Amino acid sequence: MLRQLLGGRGQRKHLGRWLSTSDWSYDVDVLVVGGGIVGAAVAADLAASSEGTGLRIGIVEAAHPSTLESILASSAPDPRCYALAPRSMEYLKSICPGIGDARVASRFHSYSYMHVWESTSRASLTFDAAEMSHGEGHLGVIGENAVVQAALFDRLQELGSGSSAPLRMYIPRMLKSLERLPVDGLPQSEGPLQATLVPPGEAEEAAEVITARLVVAADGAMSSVRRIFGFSGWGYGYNQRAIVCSLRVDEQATAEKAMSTAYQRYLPTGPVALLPLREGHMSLVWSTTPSEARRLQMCSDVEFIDELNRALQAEPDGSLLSPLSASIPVPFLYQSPLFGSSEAEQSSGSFAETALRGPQRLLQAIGAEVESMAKTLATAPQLSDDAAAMPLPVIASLQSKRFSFDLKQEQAWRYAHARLALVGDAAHTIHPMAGQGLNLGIADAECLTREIKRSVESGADIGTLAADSALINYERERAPVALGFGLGLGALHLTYGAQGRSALGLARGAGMGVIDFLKPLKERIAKIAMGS
Amino acid sequence: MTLCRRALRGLAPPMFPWRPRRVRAWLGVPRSCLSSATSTVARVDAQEVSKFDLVGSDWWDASSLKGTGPLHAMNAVRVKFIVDYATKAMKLSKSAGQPLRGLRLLDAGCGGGLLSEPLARLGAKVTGIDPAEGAIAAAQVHQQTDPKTRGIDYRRSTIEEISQAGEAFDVICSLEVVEHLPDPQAFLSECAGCIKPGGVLVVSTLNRTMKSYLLSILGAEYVLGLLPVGTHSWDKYLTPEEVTKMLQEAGMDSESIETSGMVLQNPLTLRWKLDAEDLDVNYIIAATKKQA
Repeated sequence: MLRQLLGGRGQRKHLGRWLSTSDWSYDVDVLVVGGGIVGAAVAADLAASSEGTGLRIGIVEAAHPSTLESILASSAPDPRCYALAPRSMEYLKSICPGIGDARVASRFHSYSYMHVWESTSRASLTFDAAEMSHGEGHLGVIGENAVVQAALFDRLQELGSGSSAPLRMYIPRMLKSLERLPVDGLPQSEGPLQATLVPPGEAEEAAEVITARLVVAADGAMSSVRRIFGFSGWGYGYNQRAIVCSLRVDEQATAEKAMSTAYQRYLPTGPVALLPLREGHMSLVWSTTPSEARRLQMCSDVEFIDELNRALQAEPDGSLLSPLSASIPVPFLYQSPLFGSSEAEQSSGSFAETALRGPQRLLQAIGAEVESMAKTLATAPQLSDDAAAMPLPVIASLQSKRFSFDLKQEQAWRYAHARLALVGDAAHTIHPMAGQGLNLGIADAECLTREIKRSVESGADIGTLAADSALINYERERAPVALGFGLGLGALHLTYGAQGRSALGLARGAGMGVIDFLKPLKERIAKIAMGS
Repeated sequence: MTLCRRALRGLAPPMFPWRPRRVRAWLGVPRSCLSSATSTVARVDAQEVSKFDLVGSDWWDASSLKGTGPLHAMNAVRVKFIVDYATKAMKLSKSAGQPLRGLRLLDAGCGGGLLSEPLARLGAKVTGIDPAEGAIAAAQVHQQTDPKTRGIDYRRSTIEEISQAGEAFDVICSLEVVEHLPDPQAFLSECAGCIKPGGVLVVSTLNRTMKSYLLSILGAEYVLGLLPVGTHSWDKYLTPEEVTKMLQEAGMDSESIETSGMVLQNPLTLRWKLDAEDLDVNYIIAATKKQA
């Protein structure tokens, strides 16, 4: 009836333009927004298999990444590093053969041990790759962000070269807007997506409009696709800031074993993690309270190194029973994807103090009762002699600037909408303490590309949300895993927020001792962390 | 009350022996022994056609209660079977996601185009026919939503008209259709007549077993409400042996006939799979026409 009112079948007025239903077509089948590691992985995988699927891929990225040659030429490691699980490495090597190249491989550093301990008791947990029954030889690989990105970018250039290339690179372009095309026969909320792309810093006139069957939003935690559509999620700030930099160890004072160990020590203010890199370098991720982070950011290099060494080497302190730390996260639902953690920082301190005083007192009372029993478990020598056996690194100097960022956990409600998929940090961000953020994102990329290929084989429209469609299967497979990690790490963070001799702290210490003692359980935890 | 009565009526075959036709059908007695009240002159049953007219614009609505949900989910395995069989039988070469490129394909009983669209995306030149006007209208509206499906030729027609026009196709698919026809043998013979020598005919339907009654009628219609009650009549279901015989009568090469069951692999995700052994409920059968 509306069609007749507007004059004739197939004619529809929208935004001042007469739009015939038969004059539009898809410029690309899959448009990946965001050229980070996860986005580039999706684009590379789909473009490489386009011989069998016939899909045309596009990738949009605002920054122009450096080439692999220039990255390999510089010797200073990128302070931003990732602990890549073996499964992630396998996938990256399969889609980007350049990562298996000798020169690139020399920039990755595999680690065979992981040592987790805390500052308030002698409890510790050590994972040893040699003890794992499936015998990978290492627990994982530490890779520099710049190297992985550059290798993937080189692969994209390879796939995007030539006139009939399956991949179109819209680099550098910014995503100005994303709209749904109104099409007869489809509800407005399911129409094809039109992306308006503009080179950064240029006027609107230079914009080009791309129509895509499916848009993959891989543009990180501050996703503009999510902002444009107003997709909401839930999350909370940890009321912590992380300081990231790369360091050099004192090679005389540091044992060989320490150079292939990933360290994580839980201090009262938060975990400090060291990831080993090649040639005596290490990458630091120090999560701590905002005030501490400010202080550490401001102090001189020498003071910073001293603080760090002290934090690592200090003997466990028997701190007095103290209230649960004020860095308890305040969970709340929020509608805007742009989470302003600075507000939470100011408000949650006072909120935690006032609202949690009641439960704190209760816990103190219970803690006093179970203290003696848990103390025995946490300090028993047979459960903690590993702590003495594990050598610690001695840090000599800073190799890069100190960067800092807020820590938060965010999960989008839906990972798949009509013709839209969220992958990587755009869908979920978690605490860096387990180093799993990128591994989750890479697993997302693997799952989504597999489902898209399967969907194309059966001739379906890849953007549909019908039963057993690519998008629904992707969401069904990945959302529970990411949620599980997020909640699990949130629980761990809550546990480690407690001070030494509180009930929670003692239970935690006891728990660590027990896990370290029970080899099958330890192996299971390691396998989960390695992504198998 | 109505539901109970309807349920009792549906339970008629095993419980009420004074309906001998249905009991003998349940025991798997050949259809020739059953007295059929429908005439073979009218090749299309108007009552059956109206069932598909009623679906209207819900053909493509994933959450529709008019019974098209299972068809969407089954598409993956149906298309896979068709592509695999056609590739083998007609020696097609795979090229860039268009395995059916260059083939003229007829979807006889296309409904809203649920099968025609995926086959068109895989490269076939598809003609879709259906006697239900509402279904064809819905298909024509939806085909405009994807540039790759705009070339599908939908017609409100029957196989007899196609046959009379003398058109010939490389592949004819008639999926979930024969159980709604008064004379499946005549239909299949007409289809076979429209296939080029060396071409392929693919048919899918439901088997006439106790299990298919429990699942597709009691389960799908009465209990879960996935299909409107009365969509299927169990005594019109055909066993694989009957369909095989009909295909042979129609002139298809009996050595080329292949069957496979379609089973729900995961009821939660509605993922189907092909199972060559389990033909108890849904099955798909393909045959090649002898070269001249």
